[in-house]
Amino acid sequence: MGITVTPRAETFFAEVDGVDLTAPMTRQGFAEIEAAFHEHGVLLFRDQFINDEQQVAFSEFFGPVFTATKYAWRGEKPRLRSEMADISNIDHTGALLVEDDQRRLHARANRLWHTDNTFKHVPARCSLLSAREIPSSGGNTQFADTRAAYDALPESRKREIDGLIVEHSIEWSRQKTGFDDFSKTAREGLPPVRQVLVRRLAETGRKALYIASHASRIIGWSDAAGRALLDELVDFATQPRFVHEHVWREGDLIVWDNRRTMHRAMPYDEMADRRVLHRTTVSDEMNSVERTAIETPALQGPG
Amino acid sequence: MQNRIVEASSFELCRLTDTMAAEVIGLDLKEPLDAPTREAIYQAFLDNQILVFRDQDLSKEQQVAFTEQFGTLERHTLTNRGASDSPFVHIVTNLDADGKPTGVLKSTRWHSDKSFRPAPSMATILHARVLPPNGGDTVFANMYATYEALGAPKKAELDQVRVVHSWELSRENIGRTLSKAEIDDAPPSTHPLARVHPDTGRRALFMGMHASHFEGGSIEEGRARIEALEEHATQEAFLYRHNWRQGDLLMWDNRCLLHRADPNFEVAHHPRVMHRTCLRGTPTG
Repeated sequence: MGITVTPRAETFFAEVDGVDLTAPMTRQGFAEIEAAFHEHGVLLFRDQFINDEQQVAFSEFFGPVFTATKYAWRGEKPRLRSEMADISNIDHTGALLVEDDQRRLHARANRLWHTDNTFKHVPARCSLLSAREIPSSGGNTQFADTRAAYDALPESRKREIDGLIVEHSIEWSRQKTGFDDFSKTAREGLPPVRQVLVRRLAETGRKALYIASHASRIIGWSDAAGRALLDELVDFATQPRFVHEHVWREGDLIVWDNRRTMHRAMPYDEMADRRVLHRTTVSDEMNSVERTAIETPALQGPG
Repeated sequence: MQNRIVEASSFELCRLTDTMAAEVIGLDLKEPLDAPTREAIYQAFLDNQILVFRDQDLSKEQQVAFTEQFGTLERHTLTNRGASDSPFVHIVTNLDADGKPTGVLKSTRWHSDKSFRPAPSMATILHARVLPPNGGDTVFANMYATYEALGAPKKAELDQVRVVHSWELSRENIGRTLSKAEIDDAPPSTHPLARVHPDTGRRALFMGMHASHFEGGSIEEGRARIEALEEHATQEAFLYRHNWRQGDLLMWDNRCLLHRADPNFEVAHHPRVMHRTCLRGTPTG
């Protein structure tokens, strides 16, 4: 296919040219993109004015596409088909969401550093975000390279945290921003799950911190000690040297590896200006704790 | 933001008329602006409505990068995206596909760029690439001054009016029928006639060739009133005429200006090619 890959930050984040995502793609053509994805962690494709169908078709090259999380308390009509997560401040009629709309309050947690779907037993491998409408100012997205951050940790710290297990919960990250209107049904539908704190990525053999606003505690540690360590790691991984801020243009499509990055949305005037992005989320193969158990002989026990 | 004293040693500002337009001297726009310079340029843009940068030579990518320093790039209408390698650079040209002058100059009627959008363009950046030997001017009308010159009762009346802006109608007025895809891409919008500028808080009349009629009124009556206001707005006292020089780059504020291209050259003989980028504005409320 002949793609060009240009790094846009020190350790990760590259722009890919020479791809038309409105045209059908072959497995062979995708191989180059996939190699760039594993190397750079976040890929930006500019001028891709795609529809939802084209976005799902491209996403499926990365793996099975999740049905977007449905929250039981949401009685509203969804704006988009079931595979699309609606990252916007408009409703199904195209009107701006009102100040106290549950969807708006729920989305506020996107301002916290996180990576997608760690609160699900089988988390997300990658997410693809397509910019359909961008506000006149603000609304950038920051990405943090948690692979480079892991590499930069002192060896003693690495030894200390390798092997720790973390509990993740959507309720936890939403509570942080004052959203506590989860009904009992929603809570039961999304119970806390466990993920490893340090992920080894099979494709490159590299390790990355696997942290997010959803991370609520460390198994076997007191809540206070666990949260202190998680906060410290998030602070460490989001130093300017590991962070790249993306200024959106309409037609941008960004795919990021949820297993080795975090991201967060920057504010904009959401009561006056429109921001419409469509996200597809690709599932990982399995839960990260279970995967580590399979891949690490020492944990498998005798014979 | 208003009346703030701008301190930036990186450029000089030279006012071109008593009412608007200033020349910015001393910047090479290929280079990114540092934060104080960028802020000072934006303030000068608010104060003067039109900024003129001379002797620039930007590629499309460089013009996109310059534009993006001031906000969010805006995509052009379907037909204006063309086969350009950047959907954010509209090539404004009187040439056909073979590079021959067509004899037609577009955008010769008074307008504000993309006023038919719910969030019309904030600013336009127009960079001269090929100019005729003379003429091909762009003329601007200052819609702050136009509004401010009205009497108090007239202002009070117009402050209540909302105007329907329709690209479909403005294309019909120049004899072109839009395809369904084009209409779906740019449906009509309604804006206040005396629009409050979001940065300066001053009111400016917001109309132009995409302005169809007053909301709730008949089309004929609305058209007549808009045309009468346009006549008032385009008196010599409210105008700035830009006589282009090779290398000029203009940045203007669509929220308080109307503009038009003047076909005062031999349109059928001489090429006139400009690169246009736009910044997205905010909904007018």
